Amino acid sequence: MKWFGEHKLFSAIAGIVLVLIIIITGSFLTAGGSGIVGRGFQTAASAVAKPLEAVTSGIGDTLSGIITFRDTQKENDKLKQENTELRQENLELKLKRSQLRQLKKLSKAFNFKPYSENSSAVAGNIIELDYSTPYVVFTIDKGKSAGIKKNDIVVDGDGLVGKVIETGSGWSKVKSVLSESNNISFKILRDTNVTGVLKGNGRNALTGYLMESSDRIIEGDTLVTTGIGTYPEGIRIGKVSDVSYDDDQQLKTVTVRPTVNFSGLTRVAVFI
Amino acid sequence: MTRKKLIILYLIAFICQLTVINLIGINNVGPNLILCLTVVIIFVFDEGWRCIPYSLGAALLIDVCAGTVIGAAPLALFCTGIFAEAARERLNTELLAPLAVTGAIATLFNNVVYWLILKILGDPMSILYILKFQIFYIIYNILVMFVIFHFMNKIRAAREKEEDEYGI
Repeated sequence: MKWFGEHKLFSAIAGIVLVLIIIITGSFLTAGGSGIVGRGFQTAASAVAKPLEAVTSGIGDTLSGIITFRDTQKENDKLKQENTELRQENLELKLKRSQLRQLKKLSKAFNFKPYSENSSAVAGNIIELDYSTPYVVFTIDKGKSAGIKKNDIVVDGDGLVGKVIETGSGWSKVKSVLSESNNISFKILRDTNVTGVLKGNGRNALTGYLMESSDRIIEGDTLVTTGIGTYPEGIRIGKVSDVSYDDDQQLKTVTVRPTVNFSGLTRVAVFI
Repeated sequence: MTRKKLIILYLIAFICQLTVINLIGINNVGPNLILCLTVVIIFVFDEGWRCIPYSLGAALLIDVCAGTVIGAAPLALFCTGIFAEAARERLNTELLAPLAVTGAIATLFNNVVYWLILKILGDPMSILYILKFQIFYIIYNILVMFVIFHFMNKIRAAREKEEDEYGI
């Protein structure tokens, strides 16, 4: 004790470092969890951040609306065209409805319950996002009261965003798929027999490999989740941007660009 | 800087970091207000290092709200704070150039330490990716530091004038 008294500065520095290492270890062991105090604080912070987010996103939307007026006009024309095509597609799908009824009867007979039938989606606005680091972790304004639980899946209109790592009253913390260190099982939309696994590589992309090296995969192929593991089936992950063969591991490896634009992300949906 | 002022400053910085700053962020890159504030306070004031506990508190709150692992940002910031204090003792604190150099190194140092902590915990992000974007973080942070420095320098000048008048 006397030694610590004589070396106050060193003791203070060592003490702070030790406390922070304990916090980091605790948080790491609970997968990003922040404990009771942290959750209480997060609830208070979300209450402050919500109105601020509304103001800032309002300003942001107005500014981007002015700047991107021409782009919006082009996008509008494109959407009109897409709408026409979708109407046509809708007509065709109606014809297939009878086939779907038959399949549903069959799924009932086998007691098969797909994810989408049991779940509904909750839309949330991103209220807290730290741009000072390249790690995509953010907080949304919906929490336990909306039915969100830990490990719920987060998507946006373009595809898979990530999963909920912590939730509280009026907020949920989301870890993006880019920071995902666990394997994500995928299949190719073009040929659902071709499967493999991916994980975030921290370079705005995901990397992985095919289960069968003889399977055919090309640049531009769209990948979706298989339903094996955390993520439910049929969610768009991204498009293949590079295919190569790893001689050492004798695996066909792929690099995938996510379909979700993480830079412009403001609203997401959570499957509950 | 009084304790009350420091608490208010870091509270404002914390709230702005997660909300208003996102408005000026480009491609997921934005300034780190807590870091900028800490470096400038340490740089400008004689006992500026006293702001470190408050900055650690603010960084911890940032981690709670938008961090992969709680505690990584304060630990990185603590190391950066020590570096800033060491730099302060060796540089002219009234000029912008030494602040720019300190700010640039502090930004790089902070982000590399932060990356290192997460890497130890198994994060997949590579050091090359971190370094690739450092120039943008550095530019952003230096600009913010200059703005904060401008205001802090006025406070310092006012305080020195006050001390001269009362013969302290």
